[in-house]
Amino acid sequence: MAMTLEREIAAYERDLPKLLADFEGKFVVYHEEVRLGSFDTFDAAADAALKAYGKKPFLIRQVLKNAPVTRLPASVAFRAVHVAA
Amino acid sequence: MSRLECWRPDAPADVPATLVQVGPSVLVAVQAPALQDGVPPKTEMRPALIDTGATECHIDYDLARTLELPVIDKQTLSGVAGPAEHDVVLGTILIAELAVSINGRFVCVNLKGGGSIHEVILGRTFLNGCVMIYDGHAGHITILR
Repeated sequence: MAMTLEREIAAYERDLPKLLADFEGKFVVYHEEVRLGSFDTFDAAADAALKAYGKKPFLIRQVLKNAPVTRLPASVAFRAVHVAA
Repeated sequence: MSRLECWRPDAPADVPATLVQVGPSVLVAVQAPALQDGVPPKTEMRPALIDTGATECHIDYDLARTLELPVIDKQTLSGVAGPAEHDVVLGTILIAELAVSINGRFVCVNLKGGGSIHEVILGRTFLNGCVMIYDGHAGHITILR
């Protein structure tokens, strides 16, 4: 997709030590290199981000020491392919 | 309690065999977030696979582009081909018959591009709070909530 969020993710990673100290478990919103704020819920963060930035790119991420691991479901990872003999 | 019967791509002669081939499926509405510009949010009705092997719900990349769902993060997912970075988008999955509205973040996956007829995957976060009856003999799926 067009929006790569490179600047926002770099800013989040730059700020992560301070974010972990102050806002661990909360959701933060970044646009470019600026943090909009911290929020108790994802929905609150999304509402604030949409209100502030509309269609402009923004990052919403929960402040965690270790990012949760998501595994692709088998329905996505595998697909049967039949080859005629 | 709300009740929903499964979706099929057509009117098949062999209903149980179609359930085996297609899997338990329902029609869902996928909706973009409402912005404050007065324009109604884009919505598309698309087939979804109920996947008990998936933890979360996922949306197809092409569908996310069609609806212009905002990309709000990147996430690395592990699969058989190793780890790969995927877009995370903001949107809502609606199932009117069950009064279900799943609002939040969805990791995009490549479903249509991989040949799937489904454009949404409903994982166990959807099934939490539901009863799903898989009648393989008759070829029916019933979801109660």
